[in-house]
Amino acid sequence: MAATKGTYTRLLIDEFDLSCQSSSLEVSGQAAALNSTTFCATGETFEPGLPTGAITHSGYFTGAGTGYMEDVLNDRLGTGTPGYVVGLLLTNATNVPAYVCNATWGDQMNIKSPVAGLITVDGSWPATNGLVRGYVIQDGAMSATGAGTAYDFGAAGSDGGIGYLFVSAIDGTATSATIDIESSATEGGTYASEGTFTLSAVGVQTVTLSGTVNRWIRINVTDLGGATSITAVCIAGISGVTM
Amino acid sequence: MSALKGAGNTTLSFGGTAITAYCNSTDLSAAVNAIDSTNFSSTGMESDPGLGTFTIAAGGMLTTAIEAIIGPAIIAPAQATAVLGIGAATYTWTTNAFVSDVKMGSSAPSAGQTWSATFTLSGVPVRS
Repeated sequence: MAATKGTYTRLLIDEFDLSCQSSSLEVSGQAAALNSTTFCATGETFEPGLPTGAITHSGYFTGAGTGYMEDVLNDRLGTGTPGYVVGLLLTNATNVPAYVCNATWGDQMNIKSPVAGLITVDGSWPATNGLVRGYVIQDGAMSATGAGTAYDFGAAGSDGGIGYLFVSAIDGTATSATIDIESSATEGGTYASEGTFTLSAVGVQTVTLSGTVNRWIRINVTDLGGATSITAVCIAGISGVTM
Repeated sequence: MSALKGAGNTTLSFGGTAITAYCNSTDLSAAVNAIDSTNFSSTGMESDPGLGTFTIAAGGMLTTAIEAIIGPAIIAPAQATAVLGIGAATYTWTTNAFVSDVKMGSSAPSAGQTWSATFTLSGVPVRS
């Protein structure tokens, strides 16, 4: 079975794509083992506790301005303003898995300066209410209205989900640009909107998806809001399907 | 009798899905806690066996197939069936296994993406 090299990894923190400053990334998840052993047991028994998780990463110090690793991490170290961090793994796959730390904050920033080595910057982000797992349905610039590529999630979900839009760049000015997440039971079928992002600036937008979400999912840029193009990564997490 | 190498002699399944092909290491840990029963009449430390605790640690190269199994399993942990085969011995925990610790990612741009997981096992297995 072929290995996938590390270069097929991405790290996004709010509107910043820090992939080209990063050299390692780890998504970790934990569930406590709650002891449920009784007098009738022949071995210790356990039930899973509530899930938790984190994203940790390391990279190189390449500058101190806006958008550089140290600046991004320092701005979010222990801040009360929640942010969003996503690790994308296996980015050469058809369905790229994405793990999102919701409403997170930086709980660690380590800067190491070895005299004969490169300065490195490490970050760590806890996942509030656990990690969210989804698939990427858009990655790149959108310069016209219309539907994007449809992705097969393998099954429909009946309990909604969540959509994230990590907007990293806007060419021109966007005033209330709208981007839908749509789903259909078949690839060529009729797509219905499951939620709408409305944006006028870079940053992260979220939208709650409700009820049934069909297995084929895509974005549809319905209004660029006057912008020439909008660059973003869109992730859809479907309850019972991707998470 | 010669020793067996791991490749070809180790199998692992979780939730009814074989994950052998995605593993390059498995480690079954079975530990019995020792209950201290030393008393004033003892001439040495005494202990009696308590109950056994079992975990399986596994890992390998990350692929979309194994990610699709352990990713959802750690997002929404739930009991499932785990079966570990070592040579001719099979250990089965029926609806008594859950993923309790997962790590996935890239240690370096030029290294392969990897995964590791701990499967917490409830009760003693059926050995066959």
